Parts: sequence; structure tokens; C-alpha cells
Amino acid sequence: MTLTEYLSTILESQTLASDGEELQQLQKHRKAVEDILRAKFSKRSPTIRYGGSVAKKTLIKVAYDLDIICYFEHDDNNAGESLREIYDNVKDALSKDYSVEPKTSALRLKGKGVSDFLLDFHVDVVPGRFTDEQRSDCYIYQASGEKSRLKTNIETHIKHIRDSGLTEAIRVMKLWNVQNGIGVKTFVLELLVVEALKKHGTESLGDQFVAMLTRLRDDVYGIHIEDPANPTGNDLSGALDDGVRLSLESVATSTLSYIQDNNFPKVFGNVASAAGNAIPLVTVVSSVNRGTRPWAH
Amino acid sequence: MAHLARSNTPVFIGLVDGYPNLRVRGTLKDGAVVLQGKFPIIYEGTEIECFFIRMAVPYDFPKSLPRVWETQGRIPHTPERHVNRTDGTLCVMFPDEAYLGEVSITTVVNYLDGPLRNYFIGQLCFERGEAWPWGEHRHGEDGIFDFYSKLVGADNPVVVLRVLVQVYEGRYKGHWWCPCGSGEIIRKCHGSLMRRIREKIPERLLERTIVAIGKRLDAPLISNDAARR
Repeated sequence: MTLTEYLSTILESQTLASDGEELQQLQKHRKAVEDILRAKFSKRSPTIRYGGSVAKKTLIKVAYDLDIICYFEHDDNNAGESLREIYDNVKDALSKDYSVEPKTSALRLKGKGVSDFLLDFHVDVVPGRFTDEQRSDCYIYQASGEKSRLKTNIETHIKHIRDSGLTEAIRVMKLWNVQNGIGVKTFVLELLVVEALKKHGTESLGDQFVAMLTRLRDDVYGIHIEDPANPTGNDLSGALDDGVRLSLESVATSTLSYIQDNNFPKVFGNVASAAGNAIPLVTVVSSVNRGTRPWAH
Repeated sequence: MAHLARSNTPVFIGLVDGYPNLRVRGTLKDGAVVLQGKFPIIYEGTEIECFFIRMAVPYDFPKSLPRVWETQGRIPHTPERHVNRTDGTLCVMFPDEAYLGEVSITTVVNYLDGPLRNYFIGQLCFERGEAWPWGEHRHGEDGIFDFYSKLVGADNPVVVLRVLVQVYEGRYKGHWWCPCGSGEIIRKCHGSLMRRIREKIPERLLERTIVAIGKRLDAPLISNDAARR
């Protein structure tokens, strides 16, 4: 099996079925969130759009998310005068039905009930305000960092990634990032891939993966990324600090050695998800010599 | 991971080969080494499922057990799923079982291959609507009592407590009457168990156990010595 075949099979196992449980749940929360926000801010209804890996076509099963952006008009103080107030008011509106985890600019939705407490719904709500009447760029609040607001454009981001021709390579790298616990933020990783592979667009997936890893191993400090929606205004250097670059370099080195040894299973595991699913759990359970019992404090 | 393997840290032996996607992310202020990444469930060379974890291996492992979190938000933080609501740590096992050697844990790989793998197999069973395969400890203090009740061989919490308090106070002789009330001397009754508990169970856990079981009584069974400490 070639590296490209291996990666393609792995990605297939990471694809969510269009009629599957996960996408249905995303649809359900998408509607629920929209209903909450439109009801809460009914005086001048916000613009609600969808982004994240679903819109960018870079979704993988182990790390998928739906971004629901909730933008108010540039002259609308319905949800608050400042971006911070908008962020807090949207958070409060959602907190009745969800456990809301504040992130730098987004609000992560998790379960609040007895049976789904802190179950991750893979939905981020991003409150913001358009910069002007054209409704293209917007300001979003930043809870941490040097600036308290960020100017950005979700459509630009989606197009930059979705139309790059590198979505499969991005999916592979996302999986690699998650599986190895490297911790690079998804948006930054996407930009890294698009930047590093801009001259490799026509190559096979296997060659792109090797090219990406080689670049990370040999020149991770030489890669510079910019926010396509605001190249001069948004500084992404904090998200790609020396610690992260070192992790990328280190893991890329070991992954390349596995590939060079044709030891693909060490990269993403065996290409046996179909075979794996066919093994009944009872068989696995019966093979355990010494079972242990969980507890809870 | 390479530097850990090269530094000949015995507790991490086998980790790079066995779990190549679990990476060192750093250390905590308390000296715990943090590993993060993919934890696969492998059966005869085939990966049947995987979870994603962060694990803090304490500096005095295996005297202290790792704290583990599931990082994808796949498992809700409920007692039913054996995840602690307060801090999101997974309740992989009742820790005293490991200390008493009921489950052998000498390296991180032992822990991953054994209790943690079992825990996630249990989670898979639960997700598929099946029972936990090897049963479950009851939560909280009920689970503590169940364990020690079985160990001591008595259902009466007074009996269990007398034995544990005697161990805690640490002053007894083999020819004394056994605190369980059997009429036998310690040496011929619960002596070897008491020695095991004294040698293996950290004092803080023994205190926790005595307090937990003591709540089952109308009045706590603590001697003057223990109360003064």
C-alpha cells in the first residue's frame, strides 16, 4: 500500500456520514442556537452565518466543529455597546441552555444536563459586529492577547482554505496534530499548510504530506503565516511561538522516520477501521486477563 | 519522548514504542510530566477505536497514580460515566486497588495497557448500550466501603473500621486480640492484611477511608490518639 493509499483510507474513516448522528446533532444545535439568539436580540436581528471545518470542507471525525458567527450591525447597540458587552451578552443568552466555555473570541457550547454535563457539542459561537454597512469585515472580541479586538472576515477565511486545493492535506495535518497532542490551533494549522504547500498543489496526497513534514522538520522557524482577512493587522505570531514550532519540528522528525521505514501504522494507526469495527467488543473484553472497575469520587 | 527514553527513566520504558502518538507536552508545577495525544484500543494488532487524552504522570509514580482527562469532550462529566465533575479527571480505578497490588502497576505502560485500556473499553461498552464489562465500583464513599468491606471480610462498618483504625494507629502486637472481634489473635486473623495496608496504603488515603466509613456510623469510631493528630 502506498502512502497516498494509506492516507486516503485513513481520511475515509474520518469522514462523517451526511446522514450520520454527528452531523444531525450539529444541525440540531445550529437551529437551537439561532433560535435563542434571534429571540434574545429580536430588536435588530443579528446576521448568523456558518463556518468552521464544516464550511471549509476540512472536517475530520476526531476534531470537527461548527462555527456559528453572530454579527451585529455596525451601528447596533442592541447586544451591547462594546465588543466585550456583546460577547458577554451572547454568552449569557446561551448559558440558559448550554454550559458555555469562554475561549479567546468564541463561546464553546457543551452539555448542561445531568446526563450530558460538559459533553462537547463541537459548536463555537463567535459574537461580533460588522465594521460598516458593507457587512464584509467585522470586529470580534479578544479575551486575551495584546489587542482586545480583532478585525476579520469569515468569508475570506473560508474561501482561502476551501479553495486552496489542499483540503485533503489539511485534513491529514489536522489529524496528525490531534493524534500527537501537538496543540496547534486549527486555524493556524490550516494557514501553515496552505503556505507550506503552495507549490505542491498538484502532487499526490502522500507527497504533500511528506513535503509538509519535511518543511516542518527542516525549516519550521522559516514559515511565516498571515491572516488572509487582515494580513497587516492581525498578528498570529503568538499562536506559533517557539514552543509550538519545536513540537512541530520534533513530531515531524519522528513521523518522517516512520514513513521512511514504511511503518505507516505508527503514523495514524492501522488501516483497519472497517476490520476494527467488525471485532465485537465482547471478544475484546474476553481477551482481558485482569479487568478493572472504574470508580468516581 | 526520545529524551525520556534516553534518560533511562524506568517508569516510561516502552512508551515510545507502545504509544507513539502520546507526546510529552511539558511538566506541571508539581513535577508531573504531561503526556497528550491519541490513546488507541488495539486488539491483536488492529485498532478498534481510539480516544484522546491528556495524562499527568506524578513525579513519584507509581506511588501516586496518573490523572487522566479525555480531551475531545466525547465523554460527559458524570458519575455514571466515571468522570469527576469537579475537575474532569477520569476515575479509571479505585486507587487503593493499585496500592495494595491487586492490580500491578510499575510503569506508565502497565497503567495504559491495563486499567486505562479497560476503562475505555468500558466506555465503548457504555456507548453501545452495554454494561461495564467488569462491573463498577459504587461512587464515592459507598465504593470505598465496598472495597474495604470485601477486603476485611465483614459487612459491618464497625468491624471494618476497628481494623483500619488499628492499622492507622500503628501500635499493636501480633498476639493482641484481632480488632475484628473474631476472638483470634491478630497474627492468626487479619495480621497479614493489616501489615499490607500499613505498608502499601498512603496515610492520607487511610485517613480518607476511615472518615468515609465513619460517616456510616452514628458516632465516629476514632481513638483519642487519632483524634489528637
